[in-house]
Amino acid sequence: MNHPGWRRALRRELAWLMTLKVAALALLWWLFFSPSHHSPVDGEAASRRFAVTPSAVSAPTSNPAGFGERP
Amino acid sequence: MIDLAVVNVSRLQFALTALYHFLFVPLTLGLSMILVIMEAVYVMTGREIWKRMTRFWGLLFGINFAMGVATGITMEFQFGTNWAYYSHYVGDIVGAPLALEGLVAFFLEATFVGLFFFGWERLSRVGHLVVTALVALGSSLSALWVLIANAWMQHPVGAQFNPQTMRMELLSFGQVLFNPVAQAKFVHTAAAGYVVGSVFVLAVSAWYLLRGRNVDIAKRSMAVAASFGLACALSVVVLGDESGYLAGENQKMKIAAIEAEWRTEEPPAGFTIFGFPDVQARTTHAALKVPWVLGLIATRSIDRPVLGILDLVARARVRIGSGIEAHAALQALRADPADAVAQARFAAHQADLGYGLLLLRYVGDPSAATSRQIEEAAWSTVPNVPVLFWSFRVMVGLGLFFILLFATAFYLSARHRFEQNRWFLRIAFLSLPLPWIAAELGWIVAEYGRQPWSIDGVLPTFLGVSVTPVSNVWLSLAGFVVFYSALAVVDVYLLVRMIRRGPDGLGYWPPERAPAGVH
Repeated sequence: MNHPGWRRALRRELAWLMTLKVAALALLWWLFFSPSHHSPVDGEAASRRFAVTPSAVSAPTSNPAGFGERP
Repeated sequence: MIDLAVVNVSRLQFALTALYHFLFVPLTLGLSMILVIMEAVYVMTGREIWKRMTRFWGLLFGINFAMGVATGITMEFQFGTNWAYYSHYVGDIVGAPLALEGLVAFFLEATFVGLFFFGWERLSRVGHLVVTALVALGSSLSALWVLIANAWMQHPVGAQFNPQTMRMELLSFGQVLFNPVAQAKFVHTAAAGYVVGSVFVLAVSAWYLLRGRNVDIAKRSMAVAASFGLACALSVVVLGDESGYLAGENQKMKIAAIEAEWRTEEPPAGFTIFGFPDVQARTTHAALKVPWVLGLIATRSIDRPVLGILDLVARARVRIGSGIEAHAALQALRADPADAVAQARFAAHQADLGYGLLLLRYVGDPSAATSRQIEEAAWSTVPNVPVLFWSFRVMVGLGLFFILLFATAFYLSARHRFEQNRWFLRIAFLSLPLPWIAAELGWIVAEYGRQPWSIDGVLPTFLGVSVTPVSNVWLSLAGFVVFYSALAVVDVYLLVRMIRRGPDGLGYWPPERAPAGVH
């Protein structure tokens, strides 16, 4: 740390590291988080996933499998 | 229908990254506490050797800590990338402790770990000890918050499903915070981490003694590891018993699968020490049982039964029937939230909605499920019996071995007879990988035993995955494998290099006071 150019060398190393880090993060974002990878999940999407969308409504059956209540 | 390929690869990815991350967590927990003990002795006695010990083991702690951070962050990203429906469904509850883990625990730990390394010459003795204690506190708090989130997945309390938002919503943060499963899991996991740290210190110190290097530091380190490790190894057994009792209360299927107990026995049930679970025949061949023990562990009584798998599957069948009612009521409520009949019906059956959702793996509309599909769904509530059976027994066997190991080390340390017993030093060194195996098996018992649920009884795992091409998940999994393999190489290289150099080669012996032959 005593040689005269250490501040400049440190700045250069830090600049390289920051550039590499930003590039790596940008690559990860592009690979996994960019808008084309979004699959918005909200109440409606959950409704469709759990097969309870209003369009899928059917008349509830009464105890369809013939089982009793939960003990 | 759900793409099961995405489910399986997403599960594989989370399991691999969690198991990999959990290689570093217990050592961080254990070493941080051992550093506090060593530095406290330094502060109390003023003897420099204890400072050198703290700095040396602290260096190894630092390498491990960095790896733990790098591998932990990626797991939280997976909740968003691979488990978007899980995050929507239960993010209101598990999100809070995970956020607090970052804000309260990790920030504390990460801030003071810098002061630990760079504050030796800038802080007073007591000031630096406080810093080390805060690093250890941060590590333990970090584990606490993560385990509060995890315990909620094992035993969901203080939350309720909202049909309008289609998600679980928090009712009582206090209940989530003081979830008895969280308390039991935390103390058991933390104690297991302390055992990992103790075995690490014991094994590395044994290696130094075998080579005749750093003898003073190694003997003192072994004394600390032996006493702290013995207390923690005993605690792990006692606290694991509490976890077993709570699982017996809240996750009966997990206990039945761990015990490969197919049929309900007359209470108090016996504990199967050994046997060969046969999933096809639904029996355990050559079972060697100890009377009463399982009943005492799982029910703390001699008159309450531990339900067997067949009875629990029958219960699941009934709950699936009730879950179909809940699902039908939910459909009606989504169409008309003011439907009073549907509201009453949903209220009566909502505790079993998760069981109704199990059917979505086999049929698009649970109301149309056949008896065969219901039977399949009921049997899907049984986790992998042989894996749980053997994982648990190997974990417990290793736990008992650690008690013996530390008790012997404690005895030899008290009698100053480490160097005369090279056989023990070899055993101690060869024991190095064992606590990690025990810790990973414990994690497998806890998490694999939770299957088929993400949230026990509430959300089946297969419904939690994102809608994403399976190729995306394979790509990120391949990235993790490459990245983590590189990290593993770096980690092992750095640890081995630092251990080989040892305290004598790291400049912690001032040259004028270095013992002869050390350099």
